[in-house]
Amino acid sequence: MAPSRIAETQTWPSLSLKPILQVLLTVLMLGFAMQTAGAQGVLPLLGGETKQAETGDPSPNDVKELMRLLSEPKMVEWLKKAAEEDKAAEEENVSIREQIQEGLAHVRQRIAELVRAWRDLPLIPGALAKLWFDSVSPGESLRSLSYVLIFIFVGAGLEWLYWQSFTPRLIRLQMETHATLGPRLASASRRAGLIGGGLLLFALGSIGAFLAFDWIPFVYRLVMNLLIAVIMIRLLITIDLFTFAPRVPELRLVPLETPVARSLFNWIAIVATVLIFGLVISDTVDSFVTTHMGDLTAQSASIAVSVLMAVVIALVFILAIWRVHASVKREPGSSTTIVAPTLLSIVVVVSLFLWIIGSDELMLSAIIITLVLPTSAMISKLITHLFDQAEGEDIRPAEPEEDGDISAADIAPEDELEPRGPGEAGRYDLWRPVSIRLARIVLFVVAVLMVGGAWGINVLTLSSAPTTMGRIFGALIDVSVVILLADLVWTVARTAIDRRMAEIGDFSDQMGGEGGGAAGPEARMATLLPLMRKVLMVTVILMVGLSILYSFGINIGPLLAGAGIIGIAVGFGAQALVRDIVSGVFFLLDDAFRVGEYIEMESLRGTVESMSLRSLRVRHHRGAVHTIPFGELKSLTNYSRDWVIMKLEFRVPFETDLKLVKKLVKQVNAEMQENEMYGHHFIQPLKSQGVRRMEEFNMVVGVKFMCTPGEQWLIRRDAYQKIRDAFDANGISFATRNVKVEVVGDGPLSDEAKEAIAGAAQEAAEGPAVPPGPPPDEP
Amino acid sequence: MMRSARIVTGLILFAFATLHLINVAFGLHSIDAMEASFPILMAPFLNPVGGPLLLVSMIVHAALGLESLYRRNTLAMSRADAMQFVTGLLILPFLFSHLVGVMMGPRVFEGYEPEFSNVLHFFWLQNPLDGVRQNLLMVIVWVHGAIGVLTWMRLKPWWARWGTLANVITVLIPVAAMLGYVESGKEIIARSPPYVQPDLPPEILEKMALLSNTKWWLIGVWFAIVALVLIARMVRLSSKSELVTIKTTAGRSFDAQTGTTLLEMAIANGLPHANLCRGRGRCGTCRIKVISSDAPLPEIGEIERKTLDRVGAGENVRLGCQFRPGSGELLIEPLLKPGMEREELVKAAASGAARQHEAGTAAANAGAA
Repeated sequence: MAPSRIAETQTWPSLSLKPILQVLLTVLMLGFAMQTAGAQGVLPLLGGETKQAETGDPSPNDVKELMRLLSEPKMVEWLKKAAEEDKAAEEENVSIREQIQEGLAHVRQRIAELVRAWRDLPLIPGALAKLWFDSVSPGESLRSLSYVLIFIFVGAGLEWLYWQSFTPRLIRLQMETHATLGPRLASASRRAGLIGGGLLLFALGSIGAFLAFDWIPFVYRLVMNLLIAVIMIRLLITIDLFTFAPRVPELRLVPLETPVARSLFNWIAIVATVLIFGLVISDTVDSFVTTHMGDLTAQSASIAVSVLMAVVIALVFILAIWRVHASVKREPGSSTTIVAPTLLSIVVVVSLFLWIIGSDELMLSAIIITLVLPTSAMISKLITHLFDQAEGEDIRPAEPEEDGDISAADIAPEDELEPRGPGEAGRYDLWRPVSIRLARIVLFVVAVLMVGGAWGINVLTLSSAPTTMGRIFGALIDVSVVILLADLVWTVARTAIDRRMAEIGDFSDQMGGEGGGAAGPEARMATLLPLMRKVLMVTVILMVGLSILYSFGINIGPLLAGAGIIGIAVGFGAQALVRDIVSGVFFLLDDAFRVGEYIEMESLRGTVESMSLRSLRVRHHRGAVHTIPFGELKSLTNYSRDWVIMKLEFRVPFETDLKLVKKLVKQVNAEMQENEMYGHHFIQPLKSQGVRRMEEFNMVVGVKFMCTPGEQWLIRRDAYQKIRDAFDANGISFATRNVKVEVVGDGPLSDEAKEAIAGAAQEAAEGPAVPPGPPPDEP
Repeated sequence: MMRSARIVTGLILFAFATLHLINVAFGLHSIDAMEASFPILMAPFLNPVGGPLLLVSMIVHAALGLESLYRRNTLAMSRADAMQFVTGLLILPFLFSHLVGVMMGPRVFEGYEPEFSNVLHFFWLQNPLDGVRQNLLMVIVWVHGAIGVLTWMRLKPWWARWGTLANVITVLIPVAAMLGYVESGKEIIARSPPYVQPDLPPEILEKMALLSNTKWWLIGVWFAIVALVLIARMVRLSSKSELVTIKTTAGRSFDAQTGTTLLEMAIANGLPHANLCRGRGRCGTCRIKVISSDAPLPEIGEIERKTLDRVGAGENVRLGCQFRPGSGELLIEPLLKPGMEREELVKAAASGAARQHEAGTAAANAGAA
């Protein structure tokens, strides 16, 4: 043990320093090398240069004056304002009809271009080649390939160095298994950080090297595109790998079986690669067009290439959809239909079509809107899966039992698990629907913003714009936000209430099983909770309704006032009822009584049988049932809390040996403690308290014990009996009233005299009326 | 014997590549500096011993590479192995054009002296495609060599100390060489007139065609040999394989086809497994304890026996890189945790230090039982 610990402490500090050192060293040396390589000067930013060229050609004085005017802040402010007003006015003036016309014209033009591109199709390869060689000499293009190779090598080298230091750490992270969600997420994010660090170094290295060279603009764009493509593809594949972990189910973030995960991973990687390269290629061809303005063939070529790329991308998408679907279908127990993939394929085709005819806005909207529902479903599933993982692992049996013997023994533990105890499995039950709702809200907001962005509309400003469209839009957004929020609130409340009620349900079951133990305040909660639920639902619905009305511009003031008046009227009428309910809530908070407890209020006493919202029902031990409204309760005595002390008295003659009595009580106590019926209910043992008081004819010996409430009667009964038997066996007799009659004089007494004496003695012995005993409180 | 031959020839080739790249890196200063440093840097290979030695090393190394391809059980391998394997196959085809130009050129064209200035002129102006190819060749050679040499170095006792520096140098040399290549190319372009394809007399064209043909012929021969080796390998492996389920005491499990080693199975199935020497049977860090096995355990080979003895392994301990599981179910316990820092691994490999770890684990197991 010891040597390994020493080894750890030795390696640790060098561990944390080493990577930094390595990277620093390399970056320094590289920087030096670059400086030499790029000695001819780093390329000035392209944009800056062109701007300068545009503002050239000065006709000196005018320009000077203009510049002076323009540089004045007031002027600038005014210009800005004017421009904005113009824009707003313009927007307001453009009617929907005109907008549609404009869109159609755009589509028509696009179609014309497409037709021309189709006609020019045979010319296009030649045109492309010509464009290429016009833009770059063959030497240059090949040399730029060399450069790309160098950049990627530099980036990859840096990343390799990084991994030399961090691979063991990554593997350790990957080998960790966590039962609960928190550490699992932490480990996953650490993994993401490590992997992302490598990728970042790759990007930094390659782009840094790229910036150190001189470029002609076209090659600059081309090489930059290529580099960005490589980095983007790597990033996407990393995310893909991270999410689907195609080979190691333990690391997978999504609830999928290995074959499905593998197929999804592969196809996402393929689609990402094709997509990004398609974009790069069409962007490159597009850059020809910008350098060869007015060349119709160049335009056609650009269109043809981009359409071709789009078709290829769409085909790959559709292929991916169906391949993944097939892999899902192969899973045992899967019940997929072809509806989803068909729909998705249709969406892809429609989007492709929309894009080809040039209405990008429609395409993006179509894609976003169709993706919202599946994405939301997927997110729900994912969140559920995460919560399952968070709660499930520690409860589920770690290893499935051997097959073949699925009998009661196997089912029993399952049953134990089934009704989830409070605070055990359902720890996150409350958060599960909440997180799903929250995710849904975020998704919705993002989708709306994205659709808005696709149409070139800023959603936030539009809703405050004074146009009809703006108003409708704003109202719609208000409404959806209100509904989503209300849904969230309602879900939180409902889950909390339902969960509480489920717990209560368990409790009442247990109560039924044990029979008569004191139940918690649950019974009352069980009546209160559904009511709360209903009240809450009505409130939420009312508020949502009112908000919706309000956001559509309807004045809800009178409605509210009317509701207020009715509320006051009802309130007066229901004053007593309200008092009952409220004081009931406070009795509940005080925990003054529970179902099954024996209580006394003023003149009434009995066992609490049930509680309603308004009243308490108590059963007297002789069967009478009292119903008392909570509002009437002032003070209340509870006989069933924590402990009770019972005192017993025995009258024994004066000559009794008190030590013997003490010993006997001790013996009886020992015997009673052993009793399996009530022995465990003793809190303090039965003990003799010695002589409590002296009376005329006897002394009173006190005996007491402490026990749990409700058990005292049984114990007392037995104690009396046992002590009596013990006294009996040891010659201690209970005192009886006796009167000594002293007869003065001698000689036998006549019978009459005897009778008279007996009568007088009787009278004396009975004495004055016995004081009333304690009230008969035994049920 | 074969292993040491592979290392020795590999080191000779790698030394040549390193010196040559350093030479090219002088281009960061000037072409003259490249020329000037050439005789000094390349001295080991410019004499009658060094030159042929280099050539022999190359042939031997290539042959050994083909032999190892033939011996491979599976083509699913770790990333480093795959890189080394693919780059190894590609080196010669890429090298042939350079080699033919530099070695046959002077013999075919009288008065042609392969100097940096005219070679660079050729790569940057006359035939830029060859320049790209050259760049690619450099990357390929370096990746292949670096993987091999670093794997060899990692087992050395001084690695813990110098490893970081070696890693940094491994990246710096090729980057510097590439930049030197670019910089000298710029110098060439700046000082030469714009290049126009001249009309060459037929006899020169003929000679160039001869060079080109030689090159393509060599490339064709190489790939034919590779194809033959692959076919031979397929014949060797054609015996049927069965399914084996591997379980670890840590609770992971996967299915694999028999016929490959345990380490190869683990790598192919994404289960990290400690291995310092990449399955050469040298380091012993991949050792595992067989807890239970359906199939009888295969005999322990010579390499495995030696390494196991060196690390002082206990009963039922095998090397993951040599042990070929039979069909059925196999429960193993990896004795070294994957993801150990390299220094710890080196220590574990160099001595029997891990014995204590093993003993500890065994004791823990006994306690658990």
